[in-house]
Amino acid sequence: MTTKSNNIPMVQLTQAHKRFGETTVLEDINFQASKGEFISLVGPSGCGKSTLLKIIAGLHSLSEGEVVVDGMNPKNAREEMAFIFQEANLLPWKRVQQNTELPLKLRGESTERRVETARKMLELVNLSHALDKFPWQLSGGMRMRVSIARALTLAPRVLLLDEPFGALDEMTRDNLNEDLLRIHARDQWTAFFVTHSAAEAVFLSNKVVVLSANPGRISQVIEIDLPKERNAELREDPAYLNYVAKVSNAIRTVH
Amino acid sequence: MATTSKKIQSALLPIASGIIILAIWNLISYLYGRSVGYDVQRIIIPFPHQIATALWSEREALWLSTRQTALSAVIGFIAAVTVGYILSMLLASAVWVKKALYPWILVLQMTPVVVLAPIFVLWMGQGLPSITAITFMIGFFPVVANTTMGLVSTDRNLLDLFEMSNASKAQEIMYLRVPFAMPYFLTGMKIAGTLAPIGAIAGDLFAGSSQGGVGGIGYMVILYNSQLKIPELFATALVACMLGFVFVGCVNWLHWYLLKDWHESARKTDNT
Repeated sequence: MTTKSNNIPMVQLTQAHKRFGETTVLEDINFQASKGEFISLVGPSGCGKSTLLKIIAGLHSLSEGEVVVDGMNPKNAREEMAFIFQEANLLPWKRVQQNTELPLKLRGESTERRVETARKMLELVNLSHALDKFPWQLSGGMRMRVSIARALTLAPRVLLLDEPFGALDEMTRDNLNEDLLRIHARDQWTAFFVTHSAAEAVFLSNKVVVLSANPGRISQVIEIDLPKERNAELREDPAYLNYVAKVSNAIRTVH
Repeated sequence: MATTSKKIQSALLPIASGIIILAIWNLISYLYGRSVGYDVQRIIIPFPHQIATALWSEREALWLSTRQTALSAVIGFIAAVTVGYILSMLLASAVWVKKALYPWILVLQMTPVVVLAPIFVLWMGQGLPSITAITFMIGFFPVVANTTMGLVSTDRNLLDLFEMSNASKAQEIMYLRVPFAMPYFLTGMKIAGTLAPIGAIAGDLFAGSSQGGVGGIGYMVILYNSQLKIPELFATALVACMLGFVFVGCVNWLHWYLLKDWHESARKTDNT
């Protein structure tokens, strides 16, 4: 059903196990994602979705098995990855512009390039009017937009999103989902998106990975065969609603 | 209407209560003077107007000693903040450093400064060096405790963000840990600021001298007390209180100024 033509794996996990002390958090994870895929990770609390994301990011290491990002160890592939956290995770003492520039600054880019890139990315997330604001002056949704812009400044090939919209109201979340898809269509990064919401997972992804808890294993991978171009109207489409029901059901029935 | 009357109320009430306190004070002085004689009354509980007169006639001496104490307080305060900050960086740099040093800093803190004061005088003699050392001893611990706390409690997610950006250790300290610890540090600084004038006066009690013609407030306390100039002693208390207000006011302004870009929640890490 999916095109298998450019099937070079961007991210690959092979027999991955993760233990924290005595507890096994993730067990026997085998999965791969190709370039441009949008993959959602869903499952009950404590199933290790966030841990899996941090393993791909190289923030946690595996106890057994292997994870490869673009042919490299995750720690060496950092330049190709960006992580978007549960909260916007902005520096409270810096304005929107400087917050967005941060990754470029840490990388030692020239001021000129920093300013220009950050401006462009903030425009992309419709925040051109808020460059000089401090994070506490923004709404939760706007803060998240800054976080997205910041992640995009490095032109990542893999974007890791750890329940980024969980704390937002439904309307803001829907808007951000649509924006995210618009940018994805443009940039074609590979996305791993952790969420609790079946609707969100279906709306965004071409694949939904359902994890079981204690220990976390892949219980099901549901392919979402919906048109690539998606907009708000899709939310009323029966096919979409069908998928949402299917994913919800899968989350509810995993052990 | 309501807010205006509330404003008037909050301005008038302290004045009114102040007048009542003065009236009661007057009455006690009067009654006491009537029963034991006004000579004795003068050196036990002087009339407010006697204190005011003493304040005016001693204004020059009190002004000079206040300046002297303010100088000790400022030097001791700056030393406490600077050394405290550097020490915190050291303590936060590695767990083993903190484990090795923190207990001894606590030991130093738990030793009452009044006991150490004579030792300082023994080492450094009467005067400014001893007084600032005593001020420093009182002020530096709150700076160390708060700043260290701030430096080690950096948000986990922000640390992950820096790691994801391949930030160097130096970048992490400069762009994340140090600014993140700022509100904590400033809380410590505020406490040190409240303690500094007290430390300087206490130091002056032990190590004050009129060498060079000027003693600090603590020295004046001893002097007036020994000469039974009790209204002057009360006047000195009044001056010390004002010095405290001015000092804390300046430190609070500095605190506000350095944190004005932060959100209220960050500014509220202190509860002083």
